[in-house]
Amino acid sequence: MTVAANHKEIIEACKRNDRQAQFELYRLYSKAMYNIALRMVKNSQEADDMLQNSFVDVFTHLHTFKYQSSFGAWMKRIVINNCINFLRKKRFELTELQEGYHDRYEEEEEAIDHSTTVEAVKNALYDLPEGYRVIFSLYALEGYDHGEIAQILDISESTSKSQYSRAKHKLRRILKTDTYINKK
Amino acid sequence: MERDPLERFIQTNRAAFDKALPSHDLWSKIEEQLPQERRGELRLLAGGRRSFAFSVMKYAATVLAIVSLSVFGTLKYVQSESNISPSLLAEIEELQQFYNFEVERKKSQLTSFDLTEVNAELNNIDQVIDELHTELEQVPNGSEEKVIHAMISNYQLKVLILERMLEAKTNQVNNTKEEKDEVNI
Repeated sequence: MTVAANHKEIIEACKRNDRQAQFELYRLYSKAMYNIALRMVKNSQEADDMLQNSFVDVFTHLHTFKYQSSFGAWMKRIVINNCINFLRKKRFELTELQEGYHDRYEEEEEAIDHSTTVEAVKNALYDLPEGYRVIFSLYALEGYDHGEIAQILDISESTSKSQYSRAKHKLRRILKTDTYINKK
Repeated sequence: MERDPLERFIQTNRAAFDKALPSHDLWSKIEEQLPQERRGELRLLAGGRRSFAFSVMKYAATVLAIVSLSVFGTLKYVQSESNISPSLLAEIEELQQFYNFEVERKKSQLTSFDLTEVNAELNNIDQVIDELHTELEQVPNGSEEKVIHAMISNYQLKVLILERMLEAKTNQVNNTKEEKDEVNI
């Protein structure tokens, strides 16, 4: 049996509310989905809550999943939507993402310091303002294009592009600060 | 699409951005919010070795056939006359063999860990399963289904206990590795 076939079998068993299959699906996807949530909400307890709500949503609505996309992409969207809703309830207003704010930074082709570490980039990402962090994560880490980000955040595509440029510019500046250099 | 050095760095090291782990007890919290598990249907999921399903209807039909045909016999788990058919017992044996295989497979993945407590717990469950085998011989006609469901649940529980332990140990190893990584930075 192929991995894909076995994977589909797990999903189908989950649709029948088979607990063992549900646990298997959790085992396969919890880590990746947790990291997405953590980057979005920045707090481990809140990321746990997002993951919990998202898996309950997944198992409750799995009958609507018809394999039109990969299961991972389908679940990722559920996690991200839950995180966005959560952030909005926390009065996250994407203030940096307001429409009409299109003074796009020139694309920089700056080389990054050869000693830059993943941990430094992760820390710098958490130091970004919320709106920048969300948009940077969605584009650079989760692989969404600006059209998709515009749909997810209910903003225009041009706003997504300009704010991503700003986020990237700010991230580079943070990485260059003494604090981050000393952390390496 | 052209990517700048920062984006290329992220893409090259993409997997390293996903090292954090959720709380160990998160699954149990999720499970509490899920509807009661549907009983009576099992599928082999791990490893893709093979799959099979036992359905309530299959058991019900088998039991009904036994009653209709008044088949009695001396069988593996039966010390005296029983209304359990050889085919049903064969399926129970298959069930037992399958789960024993799964339990041993999981245990083989945990050889470097102390399984004393887990083995004690598994032995307790085995005792319950033995009692259910005995009970199966004695229950009134038509009540066999409940006993079989209880047996299946207990077999599933054994596998689940080992899966959770395996997951906990894997998380433990990953956390230790992450701590080491942090020290190295």
